[in-house]
Amino acid sequence: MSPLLTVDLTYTWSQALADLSQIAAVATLTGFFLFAIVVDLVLPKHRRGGAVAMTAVTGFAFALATAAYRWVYGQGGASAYHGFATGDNFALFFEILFATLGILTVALSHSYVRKRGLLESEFHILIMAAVIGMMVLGSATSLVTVFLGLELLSIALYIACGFVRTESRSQEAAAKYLLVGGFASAFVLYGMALIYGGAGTTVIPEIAKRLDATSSGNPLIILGIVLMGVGFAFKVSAAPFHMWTPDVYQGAPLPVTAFMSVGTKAAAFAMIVRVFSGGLPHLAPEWQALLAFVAATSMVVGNLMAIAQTSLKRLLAYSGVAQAGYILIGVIAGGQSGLSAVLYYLFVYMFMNFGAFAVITLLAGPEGDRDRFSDLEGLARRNPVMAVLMSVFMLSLAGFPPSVGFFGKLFLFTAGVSAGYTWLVVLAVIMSVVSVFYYVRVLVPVWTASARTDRVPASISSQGVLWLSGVASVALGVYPTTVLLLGQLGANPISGP
Amino acid sequence: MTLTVIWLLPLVGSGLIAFIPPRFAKWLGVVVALAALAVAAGVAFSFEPGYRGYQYSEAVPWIPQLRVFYRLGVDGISLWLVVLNAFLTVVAILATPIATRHLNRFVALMLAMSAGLAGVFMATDLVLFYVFWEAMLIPAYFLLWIFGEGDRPARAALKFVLYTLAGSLLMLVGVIGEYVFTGKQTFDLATLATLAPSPSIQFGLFSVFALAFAIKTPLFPFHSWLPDAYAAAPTPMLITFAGVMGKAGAYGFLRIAVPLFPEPVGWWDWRWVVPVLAVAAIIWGALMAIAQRDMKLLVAYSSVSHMGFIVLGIFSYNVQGQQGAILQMVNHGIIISALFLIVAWISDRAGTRDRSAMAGLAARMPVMAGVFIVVTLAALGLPGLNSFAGEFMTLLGAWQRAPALALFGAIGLVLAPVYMLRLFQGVMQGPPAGPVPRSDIYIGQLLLLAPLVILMFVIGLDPNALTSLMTSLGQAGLAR
Repeated sequence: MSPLLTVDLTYTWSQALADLSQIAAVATLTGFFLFAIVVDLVLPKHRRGGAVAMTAVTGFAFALATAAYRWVYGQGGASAYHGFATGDNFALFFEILFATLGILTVALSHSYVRKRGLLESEFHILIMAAVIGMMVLGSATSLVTVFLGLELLSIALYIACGFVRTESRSQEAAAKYLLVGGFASAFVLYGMALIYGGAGTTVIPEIAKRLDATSSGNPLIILGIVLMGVGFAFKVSAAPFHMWTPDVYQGAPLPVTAFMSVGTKAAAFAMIVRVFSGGLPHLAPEWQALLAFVAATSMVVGNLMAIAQTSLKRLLAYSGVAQAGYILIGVIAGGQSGLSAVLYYLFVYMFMNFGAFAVITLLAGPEGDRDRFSDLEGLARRNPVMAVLMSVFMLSLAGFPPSVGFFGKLFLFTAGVSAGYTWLVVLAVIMSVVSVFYYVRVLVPVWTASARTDRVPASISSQGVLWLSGVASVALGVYPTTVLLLGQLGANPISGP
Repeated sequence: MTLTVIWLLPLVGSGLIAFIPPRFAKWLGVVVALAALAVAAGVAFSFEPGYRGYQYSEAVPWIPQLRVFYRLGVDGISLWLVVLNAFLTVVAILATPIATRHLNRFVALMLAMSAGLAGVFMATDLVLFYVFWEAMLIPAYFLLWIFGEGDRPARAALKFVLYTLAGSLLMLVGVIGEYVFTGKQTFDLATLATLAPSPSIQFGLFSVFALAFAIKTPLFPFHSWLPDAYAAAPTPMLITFAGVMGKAGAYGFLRIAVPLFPEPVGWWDWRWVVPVLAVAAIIWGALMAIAQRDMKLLVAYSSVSHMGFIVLGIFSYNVQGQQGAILQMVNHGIIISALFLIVAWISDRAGTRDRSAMAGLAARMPVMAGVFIVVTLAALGLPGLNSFAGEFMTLLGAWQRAPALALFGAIGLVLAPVYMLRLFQGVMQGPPAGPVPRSDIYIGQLLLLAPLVILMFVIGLDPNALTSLMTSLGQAGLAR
């Protein structure tokens, strides 16, 4: 009696409304998404871009408000659409995160897209589509919906990566991402099929009930876990499946890179937590071993490779590989403390990493992205505010207190040691020392005296992005309690209180 | 609230000063530092000796989920370092040349570093301690890098930061380990001191904490960042850098490593390894100081030697040794600041830091020579000046622990006159090396040194004034 085959003849209007309210934020954003397409069709050409951007921001704001409202006043997450989706706190947490990210992305890319003469409205619509995919991933409780969200997100991003049609590197990035992403999706799908074969259902809570510890003797289930794990590792860009990351990050237009580096990672972690922690709790030793290996490799490879980079985008790509390794420690540790640490880290990672990319985005000229170390030269004179904020982002990524990067690591590592993964934490700490070297290296051209005096202009909206990211990177560290509490509430549906 | 003011005031001042025109920066910086010193002095005067527990305690829940508290407090150990830090910050900012480029940024960074140090000495929650410990690295790094002297200050700064971080990030594992392995899930230092995990876990945790503190102090063989960093540091920064920040490592040993891990025994017994390293530092630092021609490096290595005495005293596990260590922390802070100042002034006038390139300067700067001899004698431990009592007590404590430690440690006392007097004689006495114009110490510089020299005499003649207040302790596990 798999729910896939159940035919429900008593589906009523009130049931439909209840189901819809569970995915209210996704539905809201989808509505705005369709509206944006219409706006793009009917408005005269010169007004389309701005109007679509406004629609996108409004849509994200409404989705954010919807999710926040449901968080505060909602009746909690009931299972909707026969167990295919839910609106529990875990989903709401990620909806809030992705809606915020969407606003930041549109605000940052607005002037960038104009400066480089890209198609404006299509760009924002793609971002909206990707955010919808991410939100679906957050609220998916069935392997089918998980895959649906994953594909929606990925396809939108394949196009966005190759958005600069005149630039061969952008095209290369898109092609590479498409191929590797396709592989990853195939891996995930194959793994899901095997799990379905073993459990007889695709609904994740049902899987958790049907697969107990004795299933670890079933080679097909184990193979399914491994295949899904490999696919997920591709998506969070964890080593040894990270090869695509630097090339794609480098080739994609900067706002897309910024968006991807935070959004895809957070969405993929939502997926990992849902499927592994939520769906396969009795098989934890198996996937924990797999993820521990992936985490260790990511931290070592990401941090060591980042040292040798001369492109800021590639440096941040490898830094992202390493950060994925740190976050995986929280997933492996599990429980409320581990998962809340993961959610906290993903939320604050949005600000520090997006902020760092935002600074580099603003350096871009009409001819292309400028992401050499030398492009940062003399930033302290050219735009002092940006220099200070860049230092905040780098020091935060390096994990200096009192920034969010430190507290994120503190929570992740505490969970790791409590769960008995001291060796992994020690490795993470040692690799953090290495990471300081390259993060600080970025600051050298920023603060070294230089003859360059050309100003770095920043539009109002980009300045807003920078300030918000910078202030959040420090304030959420000095006062981490609230976000951590939200993380705990968000983790509750998976981990139990 | 009082203690919060002591660290928050310099930090807020730092934020303000960074944005004001450079010509007001120095004086506003002095005002802020003086205000912090006044508060610290107020705390010191109303401090109650003999009280068990932290005084002026503050405790506010900070991250309730992990039972992290914002806890501050002072006791007989930390009080002196808080006052020393506030005092030396005033001296350091006063010593800043008004012609420094970006003076406002320099003063701002100095105040930020001082705020971090004050926090380290007052924090009584392990996470808060760690936050201050790491945060103070940021201003220190920028100070060394942007305002550093020499050809490659950026390299020295990076070396310093990476060395320190290698230790302190591992300490983070120790902090978390204390939370997890004591079974009580608390970061409160006073509570943790009463809960000792099993010796093998103590051994592991002690190792990571001790590594962090040993690098910071620095203890032999973890001192190789020090010559580069001290050579690159501008003189005003050196006053807080050498005078106070080095003490943070020794303070960590005394505040955390000793009371929290009474029996750190595993593959070897740390209680014997650390004092042996301390003795090695005493002798190695002294020998290296003898070998230096660069005056700044000579003083830097002498600092390694003197810090060895402090650690030796701490690991004597008895009252004399630990009181001597605290006393010596204060003494060394005063002496090393005075030495670095004098050395910098002399090399400014002579145009070189190479001590073998100058001679017979006493005739041209008689007053400077007079002050210099007092500081030199204090540094080598002449009775009646401050260093004597402290070093004597540490050696006495070490003798009670194991006479061999004291015997080998005393070699440092023998070597100190060799390098200090050679430095003084070489620079000041003998036939003049060249036609140097008469350029004695300025009256302003003399006034700046006056409080340091007066303190050398006061503490030297009446060390009891300080040690009697050190009887107040906030933690179990310390020798009293």
